[in-house]
Amino acid sequence: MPLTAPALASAPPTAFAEWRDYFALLKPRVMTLVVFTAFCAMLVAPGHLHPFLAFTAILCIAVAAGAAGALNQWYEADIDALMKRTAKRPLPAGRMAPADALAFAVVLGAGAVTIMGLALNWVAAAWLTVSILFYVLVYTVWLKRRTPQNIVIGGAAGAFPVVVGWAAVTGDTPMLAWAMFAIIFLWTPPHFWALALFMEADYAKAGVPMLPVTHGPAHTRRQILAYTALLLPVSVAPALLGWTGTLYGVAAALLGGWFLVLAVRVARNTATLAAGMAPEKALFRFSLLYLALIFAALVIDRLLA
Amino acid sequence: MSLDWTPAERAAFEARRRQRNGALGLLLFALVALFYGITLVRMTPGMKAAPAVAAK
Repeated sequence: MPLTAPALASAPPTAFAEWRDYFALLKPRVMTLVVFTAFCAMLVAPGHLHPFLAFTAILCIAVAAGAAGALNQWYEADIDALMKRTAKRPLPAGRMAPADALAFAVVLGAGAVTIMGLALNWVAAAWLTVSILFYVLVYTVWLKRRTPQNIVIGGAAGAFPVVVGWAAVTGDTPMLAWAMFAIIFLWTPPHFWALALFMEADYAKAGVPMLPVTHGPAHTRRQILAYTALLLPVSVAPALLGWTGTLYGVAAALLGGWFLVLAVRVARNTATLAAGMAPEKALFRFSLLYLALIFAALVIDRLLA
Repeated sequence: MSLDWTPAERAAFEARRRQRNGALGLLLFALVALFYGITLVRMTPGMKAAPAVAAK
């Protein structure tokens, strides 16, 4: 039984959630990132898609991401109850019965995949299925509580929407789609580990093996630097290989260069308390801007080509 | 369902149920509109989706 006793005990038999609780179950903030990256991939992909079908594809991707988020919350209600950041979610707070959350997530996920297949194409639907299953089974169930590299695996789950978005337009997944996947994949560890460094106490309390908890801040900072250093050549590669124009290449080099400078500052920091982690906070903030700008550069580069 | 609710608890429960049913109604209407739109677009000559579909 995956749902542990504390979560079940916290849900009263009369739990009857409001629509806002169902909406919160979809992790709307994560959906924003997913929608943005998938939309960028759809703009970069060659070919024309009717605006209504493009809207449908984005809707399916967003709903599938929401379903995966809901399944994640259903499975993790026990550890969510232990962290300040997540304790007020509908399941740990006891506002929703676990069975209701599970049914809601399954119906949404299956619905999104079916509509993607019927309205767009089955290649996109297949990748959408993979993205949900990967996030739920590989990340949430299998690896999150077992390895401090959980965020790396989670990065792959968060990167699938670009592949789905591209497939929705063209029906295939060429190398540039996978390059966009690789950018999100390598961007995720520095982004989340920077956050985990100054939120360490919260994760430790829940027993989640986040890298700062298991290996300490110094090792985490070296890992942040390593992934950021890898991100720079990978993000510039599409331009060097001629898949994109120079504009994107210059933007990727500048953004990746600054990301690396911030990661070096993080690597040099020795603070152990959140109050002394200004470099980590700066890197976390910039990482959000980085992803928005590098994908925007890719879109502009394609539109100008 | 608990039978020993106070009138205030029952009223709160019924208000939540009304709200949720309203949201469900809107969702079903949106789904109908979505399928209607998809059907129109897919049935209009010259409106092709991705090659994987168009090749059929």
